[in-house]
Amino acid sequence: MNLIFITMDGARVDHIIKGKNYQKLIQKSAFFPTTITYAPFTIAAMHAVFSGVYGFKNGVNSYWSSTKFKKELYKTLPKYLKDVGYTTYGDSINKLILPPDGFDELKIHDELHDNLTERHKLLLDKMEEKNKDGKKFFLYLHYSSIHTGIMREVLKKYDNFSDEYFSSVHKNSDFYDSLFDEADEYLGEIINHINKLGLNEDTLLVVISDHGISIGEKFGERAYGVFCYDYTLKSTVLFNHPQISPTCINNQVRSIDILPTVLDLLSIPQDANYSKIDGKNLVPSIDGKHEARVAFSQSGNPLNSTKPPKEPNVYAVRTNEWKYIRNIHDSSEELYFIKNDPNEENNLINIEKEKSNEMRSEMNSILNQK
Amino acid sequence: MPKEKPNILFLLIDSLNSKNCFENDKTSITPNIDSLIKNGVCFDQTISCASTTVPSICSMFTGTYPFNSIVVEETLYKLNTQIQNFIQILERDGYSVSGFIPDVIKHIDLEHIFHSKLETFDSFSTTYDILGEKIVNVLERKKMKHPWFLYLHLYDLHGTATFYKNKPDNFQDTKFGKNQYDKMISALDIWIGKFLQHVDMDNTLIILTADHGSDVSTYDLELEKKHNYYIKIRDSAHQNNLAVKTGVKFSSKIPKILIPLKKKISTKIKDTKKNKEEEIIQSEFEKIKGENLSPYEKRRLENCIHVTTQCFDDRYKIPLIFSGKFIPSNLKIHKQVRNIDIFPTILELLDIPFTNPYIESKSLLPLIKGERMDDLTAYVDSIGNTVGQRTDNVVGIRTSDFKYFRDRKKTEYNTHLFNLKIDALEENNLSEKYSDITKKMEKMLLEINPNNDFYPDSVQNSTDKEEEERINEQLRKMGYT
Repeated sequence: MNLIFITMDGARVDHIIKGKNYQKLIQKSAFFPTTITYAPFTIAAMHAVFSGVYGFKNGVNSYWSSTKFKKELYKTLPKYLKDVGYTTYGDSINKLILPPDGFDELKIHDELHDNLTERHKLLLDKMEEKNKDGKKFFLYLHYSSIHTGIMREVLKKYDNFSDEYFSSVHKNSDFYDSLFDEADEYLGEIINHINKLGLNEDTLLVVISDHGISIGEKFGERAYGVFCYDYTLKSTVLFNHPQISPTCINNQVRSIDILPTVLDLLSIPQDANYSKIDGKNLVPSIDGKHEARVAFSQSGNPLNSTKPPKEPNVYAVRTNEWKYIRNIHDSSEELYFIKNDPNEENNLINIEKEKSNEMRSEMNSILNQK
Repeated sequence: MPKEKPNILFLLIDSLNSKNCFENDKTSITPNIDSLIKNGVCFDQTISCASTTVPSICSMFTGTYPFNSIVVEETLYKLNTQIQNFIQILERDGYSVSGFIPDVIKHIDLEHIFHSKLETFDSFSTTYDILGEKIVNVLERKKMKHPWFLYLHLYDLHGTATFYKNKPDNFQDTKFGKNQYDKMISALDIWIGKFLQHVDMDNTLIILTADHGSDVSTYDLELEKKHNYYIKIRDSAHQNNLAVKTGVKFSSKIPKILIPLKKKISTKIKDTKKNKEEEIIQSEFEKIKGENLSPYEKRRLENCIHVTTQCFDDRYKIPLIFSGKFIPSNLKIHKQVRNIDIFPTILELLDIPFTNPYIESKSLLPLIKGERMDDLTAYVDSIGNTVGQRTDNVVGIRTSDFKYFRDRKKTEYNTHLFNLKIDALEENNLSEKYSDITKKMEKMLLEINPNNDFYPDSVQNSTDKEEEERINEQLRKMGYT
């Protein structure tokens, strides 16, 4: 079975579930709309996805730490596939985004000028050729145009404390809609091309979003990678293959669960020569056996700096009902009953003391798993 | 109403054993420490997580255990500056922080948290040489911005000072102590009194504690003589006591380009000397095996020749006294607590909120207030001050009833279990006899560190500016910087 893995960089879950082409795909897939990312920014998010391990263990917990990925301890998705004979090929936005280990070729596109739809269709053609030669392939495609739009119109125009930006939530939302519509078009065209080439019959298609994006919900975060609120932590994953029964699992899962799930679906055993990973297989969930999973995330609030920090300074632990946040930079804490307060507006840290302690302790125990 | 912030005087007396500070049969004369105890709260079962200075104080400052609180840089352990520490929290709350530390620990990066307000002193000097006057001057001038936090790491009891330097003449009479160590405590107490004279006790919180205990505290005159004899033998083979100090001075003074060459030569010399030293030690250890002594006495004798630290109490039980502002008088608490709990207690006393990503520690304020608190399990680690020491071998757990320790990596190797209630000298290893308790203690140990990775992380030289600029360029392309 081949593997096509598509990252829809910065696609928000509230848009994904309404996207025309996304919806068509979701209806044929096992879909997890509450996949909590380890980091609400692509670099650390993708290293966690590809290794199945939180960034404070794999070495990549900030924008700055790609080169510190512990490849000797954690085996990456492409490396797994390479080791069992796959052709491994990727097209990404930047060389910092993915651990390169295991890729036969990892190309970097020009996000400002390349037409990603055409570029990626050509790559699919190339993979089909390989497939015809009897070679299984892994193709990684990074759709980066939402990021590009946000970079042009938000990151470069406003700072995290811009009154103009935060007083224009409708305008921001409209702009994001337009970026997402293009993303949905891209996805539709890629799926059509996969089907046209007949690759869908023996290919596991995995489509993820790596993190969400702010449209101005919380003052202090104009895009992502600052706080740990749900509008950026909530990402998605879907698994599509003719033999996977379509289902939608609303229970919370984690982005670190993606790697062991893909391995299981491809019947590749986890390599005991590497350190134990944090992620847990989602196949039992696809088969209807749900279990509660606690998610841990880290972000890096740049505060008044123009650069993100070298180490994370905002930590979060999330369950299906609760979220606890530690802001290391100012020693503050937050607790939200997200089940009833999805916008995380009512901080219960000093009210729900028992729950606060429980969540603190949950976070400590995760962090202590050095 | 927010509490008025008191000043904080933090006295860390290197190598001060709990029993030499508190117990009725102590032989030192310490009216000033006694007065702190009388007017304060005294925890007489305080366990340090390490038996050496660097990991102990890094853990105390961060509230985490050594496998998190320190990092390895080449051959040295340093404070893990990636973790928030309590001094930073105090500073953020408006405290003006400063301190005095012996230069032997200068390399561990305490400057990172004390900034330029950290004065180092020669580790071979003692309080009654020059240091005491210097500290009194600081307190007398009253130039520290209120509220202040003054950290004093006093080195008088450390072996280096106790056995090498000129001893305080006025304290050589046996009435000041049964051994050199206790005499040094008596001498030091005078200076503690002088410090306290210059402190407004109504508006100062005083903490007195130690980084670790010491075997030397238990020596009689005969053992002291032996100890001196073996120090001389060891030093002739290997300038062991100077190694760290020299290493630090060396690495800070030699041009970077020459370090590899110098290192190569000095490694060769050190190896030769080390082998000679090992030979002497092993032959002495063999002699001890045949002697008719209790396990405790044998252990003490071995340690007198060369430290063979496992995780025995003499080196882990430290005093802990809170006195002054907000602290009730004359309260003795016999519950087991840890050195990592000291700063959380201070912060809670001061109503300073804090969080810490790896925090293991707990505030002891409930105990001070006479409230109930669950038993605190103490992690104990034999890790040394520098990388690769022979004493790094074990890690363990101490409860008020049992002590358990085993090999740092292999869970079933070198296991020890002692029933502390009936075997305070830790002579009877019950690890095989009570395998169920051993397993339970092992489980508790792994709860602290589920991956059984008790080694501190190494730091890469993050000074690679070129790489940082390359990354910055990529981040700039993506709009992040």
